[in-house]
Amino acid sequence: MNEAIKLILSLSLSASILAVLLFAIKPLIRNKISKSIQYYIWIVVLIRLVLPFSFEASIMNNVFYGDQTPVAISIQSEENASNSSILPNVQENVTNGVYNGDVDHSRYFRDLFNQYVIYLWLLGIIIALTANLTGYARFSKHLKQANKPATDEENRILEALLNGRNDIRLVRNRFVTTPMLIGILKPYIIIPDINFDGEQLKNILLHEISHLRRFDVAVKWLTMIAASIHWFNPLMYFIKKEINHACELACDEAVIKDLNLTEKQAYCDTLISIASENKYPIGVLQATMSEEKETLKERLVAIMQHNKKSKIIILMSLVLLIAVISGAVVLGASIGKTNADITTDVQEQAVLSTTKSVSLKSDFDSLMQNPNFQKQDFEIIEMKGPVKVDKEAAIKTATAKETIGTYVSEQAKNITAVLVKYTNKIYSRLPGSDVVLQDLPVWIVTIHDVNILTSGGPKIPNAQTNNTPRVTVLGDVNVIIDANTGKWIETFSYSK
Amino acid sequence: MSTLVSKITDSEVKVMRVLWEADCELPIADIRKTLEQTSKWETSTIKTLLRRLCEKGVVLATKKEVFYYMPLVSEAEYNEYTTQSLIDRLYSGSAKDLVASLLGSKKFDASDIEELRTMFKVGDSDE
Repeated sequence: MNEAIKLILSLSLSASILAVLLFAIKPLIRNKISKSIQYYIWIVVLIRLVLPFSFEASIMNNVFYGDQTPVAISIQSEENASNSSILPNVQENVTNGVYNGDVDHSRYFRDLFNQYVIYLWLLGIIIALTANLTGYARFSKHLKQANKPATDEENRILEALLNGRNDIRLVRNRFVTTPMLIGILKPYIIIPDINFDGEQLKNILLHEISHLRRFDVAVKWLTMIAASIHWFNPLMYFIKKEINHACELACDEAVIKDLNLTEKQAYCDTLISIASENKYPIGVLQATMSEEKETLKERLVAIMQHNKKSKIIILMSLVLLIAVISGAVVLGASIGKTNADITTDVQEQAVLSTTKSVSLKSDFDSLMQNPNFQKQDFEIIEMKGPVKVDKEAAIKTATAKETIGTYVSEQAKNITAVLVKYTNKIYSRLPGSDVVLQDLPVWIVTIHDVNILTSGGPKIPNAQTNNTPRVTVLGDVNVIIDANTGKWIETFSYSK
Repeated sequence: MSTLVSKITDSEVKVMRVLWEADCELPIADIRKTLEQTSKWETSTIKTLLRRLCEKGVVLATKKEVFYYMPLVSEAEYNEYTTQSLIDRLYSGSAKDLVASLLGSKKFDASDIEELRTMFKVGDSDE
């Protein structure tokens, strides 16, 4: 899988886990803790969705780059081989005959999908963003043509409420059905072109100014961007709805927290009045309205039930908020190895005198990718130490003249070594030896791209050589070294 | 008015434009003469369109020596309606998610408002 895709999937997954937990505890906290805290908690989820920040030890990084634990991969199993983390090139594999045994073409299509999934994802983002932005642009363009300035009286009320702290315009528009705050850089408030009394206008403006001061429009834009990036995640729809809903409740709370009971009632009255200005003739669009009604109902109830939170509740709310933030950090994102680690790898490889190119692929995976290698009559399982012979010593033995001959050290482009448990399926022990070839820890040292003389088959100690004509071909030489005794076990090579 | 206007199709709007431009009652012959310049409609097509417009109540037919047709909806009213429905559609589409509005996009019917007011009154006495 592509790294970018891994990153996006990990962001989607970790935010989804958070969101599911939050939906689960919602009934418990809904009426207990402050609406603002509930809103901020959702903003944490939003940030988790868009910010690829993570510690390397985060859960997502382990899920997506879990190479630290030994993973059993049988090389005979086509399934596992194609699941390796390297993006296979379908074209190349077709030429190499990798799909020859792929009867139902499932592997072919899976590889094809892996190769193009990133374009599919990008296409989705472009479509989602275009749809949202053009819709918004047309909306504001058509509205602008019908905007007309508010009266001096209305502007005076606005000025009084703003206290000179913000610069914002107020316009009337006969096409809008509800007052709204629009724009991030040059925000302005639009109110429907109907007559409001002073009290109603004050409440409307208080609500919109509260949105302005809390940067709610920016949060809404961020939500839209997150929803576009994660268009493939069905939970996004619920998250988006929940954020918008939490935003309104938090905004109401901010407006009414210092109001007395009569003022709160006036605020509720304003909400109902504006809703009633919106009313359709009875019978039209009946089905779609109940949800909106429930939302408004919840807001009204929340406003009237609002009370000062006790210190314990405030403390608990903060604990919850911190818990969610820590959850978001611990879940993390799949960011892969940091640059520092890659440098260490590079240095490790540079130590080997014969190394001439650096591969960032896992050596084990590279080995598995080779179709010829899979045709050998053994199974290997990747393992981690401890073994008595280290990588460098194994390579030294493998590349020694007495093991492999003279041509290797000069011609090899790259040498890799992987530690595996080795099981030979044809012969259970080395001829003339007590070493049992069953889950034996060995180093497979691969010397890449050397000219080798064909021998017609694997070179086995004491085995009869056959009489196929020997020709020089470019290929890889694999030397198997016992990881505990450091002794050479066998060598085999295959052409490219 | 709005529910009637909503049903006018694009072809019907073409006929309406002729009536709006004339600014008086027109017999079908005159309508056809104007439409001939822009379209290849048969008289029967125009008749069908006019009949539909009459059925929808946006055009009034009065019988004198022949039928005379008069628009009941002005061009301004029609434009107002289409802009309104366009803005409503865009708002519920994506704009709603990008502005901070006091209320959502869906409208309420009288019984909803009644229910909310009643609930709110009940809530009052509880306080």
